[in-house]
Amino acid sequence: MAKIVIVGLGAGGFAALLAARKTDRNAEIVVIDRKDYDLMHPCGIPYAVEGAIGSIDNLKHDLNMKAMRVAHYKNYIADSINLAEKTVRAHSAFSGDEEFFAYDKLIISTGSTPLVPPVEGLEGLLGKGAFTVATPEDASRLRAAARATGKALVIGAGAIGLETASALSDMGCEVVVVEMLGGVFPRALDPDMAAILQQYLEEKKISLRLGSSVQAVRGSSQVEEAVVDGEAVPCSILVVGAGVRPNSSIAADAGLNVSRFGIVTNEKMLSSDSSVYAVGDCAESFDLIRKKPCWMPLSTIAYRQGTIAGANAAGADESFKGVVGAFVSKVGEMEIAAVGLTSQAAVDAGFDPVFGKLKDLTRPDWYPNGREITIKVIADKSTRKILGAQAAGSGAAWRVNVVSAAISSGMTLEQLSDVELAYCPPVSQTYDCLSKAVDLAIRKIK
Amino acid sequence: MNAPDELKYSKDHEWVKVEGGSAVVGITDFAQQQLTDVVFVEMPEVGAAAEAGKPIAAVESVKAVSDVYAPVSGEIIEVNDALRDAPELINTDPYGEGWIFKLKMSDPSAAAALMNAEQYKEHAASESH
Repeated sequence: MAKIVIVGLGAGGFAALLAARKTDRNAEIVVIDRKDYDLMHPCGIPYAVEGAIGSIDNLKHDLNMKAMRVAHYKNYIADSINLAEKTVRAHSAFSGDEEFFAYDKLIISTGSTPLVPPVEGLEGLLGKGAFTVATPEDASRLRAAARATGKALVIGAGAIGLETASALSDMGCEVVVVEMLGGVFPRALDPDMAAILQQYLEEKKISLRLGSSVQAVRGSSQVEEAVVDGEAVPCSILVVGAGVRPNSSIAADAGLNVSRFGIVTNEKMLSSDSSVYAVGDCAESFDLIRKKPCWMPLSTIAYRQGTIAGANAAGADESFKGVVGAFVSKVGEMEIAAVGLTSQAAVDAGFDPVFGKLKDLTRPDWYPNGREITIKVIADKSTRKILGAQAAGSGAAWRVNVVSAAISSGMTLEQLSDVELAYCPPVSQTYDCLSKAVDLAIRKIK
Repeated sequence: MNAPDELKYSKDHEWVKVEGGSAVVGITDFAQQQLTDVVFVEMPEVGAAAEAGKPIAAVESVKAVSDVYAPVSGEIIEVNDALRDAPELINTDPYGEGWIFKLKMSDPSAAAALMNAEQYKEHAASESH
């Protein structure tokens, strides 16, 4: 009867405990987590800020740990792991009491923490008008601040930055987004696709400063202004959406292999120690397209990896193949989705990309209320294999999901062209824009 | 209706810009409007023979495939490669960056027989009711 200890209760830890319990009804499962409640959903935070889910407490979620016979040590912070003795040392955040948890199998699912860029003055103003966006508490404070004041500056034009910018704008704030790289979602979208979202943001009166950076944040007791490219921009709210970094130090300190991507794992989600698994944002992933380690901090991946690790810790022998990076963000009304490689990433990886792209309506033009969607599918000219896709508009995600399946199963353009899609006029068109985009790519290389 | 004065026009809505013994050819603003968003351009091969009045290229939108006819006879000497990845140039700049092919005219005086801008505008207006 295995004793399984799970450190960190987020998407990965939760999936692991479910899978472990399902695989071995008798396994002893212990969860160590720093929160004083069970589970929360960070991806919902920007939407919670604007009131989309009602009370912000709806981000929090109770699990029936007793019914699952899981010993849950809430408010416990794991301090170190002793691989030789197979113990985790943790302490209660309440009492300070230290405890040692012995394990047969350990699953590290410690997640990630917002990256606070080394901007002069920023660290000191966190909590005084400057916010990271990682917890329901951040959401409550941001919501209160947004109602009270007018000008917000957001660092980072990725999902967190833009979803939060949109929420703040909808709440009446004047918003400026500052992004270091040249476009929105710079690692997921080609410039022509990013331009679609950029135009939408402009129409929403969200000011975008691309290729720009914040040098300093100033304020006597609260944020008052930020210096952007040498220019002082007044703001009373500053949101840090500059990415996250893996919480892998506990693993590194214990002597486990840790790369710049996080805790190194194999396809069984095992670390360099055969009794220790690592999953989610704190762990490395494997890029299925470029066939090398990568980092992909997405809850969907954390969940699937957690499921594999939990099952394996309880005696199964499952494998996690790797990731293709299927992602969607909803910024206001605009759905943006992408999977696989951008055109530049394809070139950098040594592929010879060809794309099929088109702007279309989501319904036949004789049916009312069709909305616009632009979709771009990228493939490799020599092997004809699908490398990636990007879509902006209504129905972006489901189409990108089809391409996600195509990429991970190694489909060519011709095979993807053959995929049957479901249709009725309120939903799509007889000849869907995804198929059209694929066929345009095929025509180019005939 | 936009039809620059310095160009010549065919009844099939192609424009011709005469450059010495060569002709640059594209489709008119009227034609691109009828087509709506161009998604693909089937271009001729360099070296191919173009015969006046016969289809030499095709412009496709989501709903239609439209032949482009050679307005004069000649040999294709250049095609607009930019249209491969940006077919929408035909919509945004039909007389400039949206040019489709260039040919060396077999008879340089043949272009004179094409319509001028005024005649073309009348012709297009009569077609569009």
